[in-house]
Amino acid sequence: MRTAVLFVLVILLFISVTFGIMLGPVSVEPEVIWKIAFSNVPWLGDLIIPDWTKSQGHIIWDIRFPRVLLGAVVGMGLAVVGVAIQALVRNPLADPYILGVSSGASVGAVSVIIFGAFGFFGQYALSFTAFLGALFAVLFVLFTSRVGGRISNVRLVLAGIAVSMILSAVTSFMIMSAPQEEGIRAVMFWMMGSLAGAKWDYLFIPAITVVSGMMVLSFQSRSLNILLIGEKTAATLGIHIEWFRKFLILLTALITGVIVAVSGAIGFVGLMVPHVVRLIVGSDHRYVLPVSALCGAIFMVWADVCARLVVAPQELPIGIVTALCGGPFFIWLMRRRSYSFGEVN
Amino acid sequence: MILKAQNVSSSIENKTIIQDIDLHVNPSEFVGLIGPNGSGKSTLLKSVYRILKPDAGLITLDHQEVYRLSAKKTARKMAVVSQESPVVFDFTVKEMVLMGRFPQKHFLESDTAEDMEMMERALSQVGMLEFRDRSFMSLSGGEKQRVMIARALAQQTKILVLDEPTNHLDVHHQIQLMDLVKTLNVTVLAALHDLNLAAYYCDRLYVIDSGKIVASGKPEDILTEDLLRDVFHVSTDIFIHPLTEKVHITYLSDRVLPEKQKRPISK
Repeated sequence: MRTAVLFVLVILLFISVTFGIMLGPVSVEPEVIWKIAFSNVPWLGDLIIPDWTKSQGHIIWDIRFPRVLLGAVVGMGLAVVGVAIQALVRNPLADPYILGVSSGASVGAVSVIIFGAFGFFGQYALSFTAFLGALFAVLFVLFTSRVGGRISNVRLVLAGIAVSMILSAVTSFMIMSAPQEEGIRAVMFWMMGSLAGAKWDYLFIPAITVVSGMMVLSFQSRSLNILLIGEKTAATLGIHIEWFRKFLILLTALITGVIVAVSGAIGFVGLMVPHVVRLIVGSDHRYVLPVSALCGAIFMVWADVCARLVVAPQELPIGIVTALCGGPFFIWLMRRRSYSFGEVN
Repeated sequence: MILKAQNVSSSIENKTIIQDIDLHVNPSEFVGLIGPNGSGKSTLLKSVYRILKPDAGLITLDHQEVYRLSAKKTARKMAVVSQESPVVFDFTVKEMVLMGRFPQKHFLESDTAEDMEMMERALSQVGMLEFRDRSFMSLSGGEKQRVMIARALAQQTKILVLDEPTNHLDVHHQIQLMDLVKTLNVTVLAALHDLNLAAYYCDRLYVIDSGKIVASGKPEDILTEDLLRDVFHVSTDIFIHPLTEKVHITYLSDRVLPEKQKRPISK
């Protein structure tokens, strides 16, 4: 049954990606999309006779493909990190940003957008500083939550909240002292999250990071299961707790940092998808991880379609879409009695 | 000798909790550890099950030093059922018990037919086989505790360490659980709260007070009115129960005792 779920989701993802590329001001037939895709594959490409216009080819291959695929990668990564973080802190309210990643990235991004800092990184300045900010924030949280060489769950979460608050204050201060109005708008757009401006160049690093990160996490599925039961039990079943937690913190920070750097802090996906998935397949991480990855990708592709089309030719920040879809859905889920959200009854 | 602790001293946040502890458990022995709150029972067990590294002393399992073994290797020799914070996300009973197979698993190895067989055997040993597909969270306290025991059994270890296994259980489930552990015929080291239960089920007892072992031996040899007054600060009446032929402790209180029965309690 679980294999069937995975199979259906892979097909759904394929269909979603096709639709995500099809839908837009310039409409294209689905088979043309994949013909264009194959024509860009080395060796294979020559077998396909082009029957599309040059501008179609450009829009599909250079603009829509990277954007939709980036959406899928970002959604996949956020969902997977959400699963891992919830197991790490044993808290159903945890999301990928709970350890300060997004607020750290914001400080970096805002300093680039408003003050043009780190100009020498050229077009990668924004992504690079956002990533640095994210990593710095998580390391800071990690060190402040260590007391006597041990990290407790509660301290970790509290340190994450405290560091997030401090860094948000820094961000707000920078926005207040911004010299120009457009800067503020750009910052708002970035902080809500957006996939606009995706290019093939931007896709490579996030895709590699998310896919390899997900594989590494899948190898640890059993350990994640046991971690959910409790630290003491995990230790007596043979897991080196301190090592494993540090590993999880750094791995999730790395994945989230890379994602936030390219797409901004897109909310709700990392919180919501893991819960929905547990509702369907239970808590076993051997299934929760792959199913979450696929659901996150599908959800993000459709959220981006909405972000592009609802107020076309303008665009909405995708964070508004995910929150508007995610919020009501979450309330519905929460009101179902059969799902406990980790509450003890 | 399966488990042996020699001169073990442990501290928490620079405060010495247990000092110079000597303890051993022989094969298929049921050994109990009793002592008042804060006496160091839990600390001693934590040191034994490799969560709290002692400052001094040696703990060996099967003649191998526990703190030189990896966490996983230890888990292949010793299974622990401890007090644990409530489970946050739900698992099925089957999944919970299969986690006991983790120490035997290689990287990426999936559940084999053998694992399934052991899971089923462990669940039927604790009488929970028909619950295998139930959600763990929906179980009662006693049923949860039995599933934990099943998980420890699925670990297939030489020794079982129980950290106050009967806490939060009613009388019926306390006895059911102790009966279960007794009939399994495994080697057990258990910290116990209920002295009558300890006297009834254990082959040998260690009494710990203020971080030191103050008495050890068979229940009928060491459980005396004097010891209980000194260690637990209670006055008692102890006799061998005619039915069970085991030590039975009756707690006495000045407030409740009939006037004519009061005797001067020597301090």
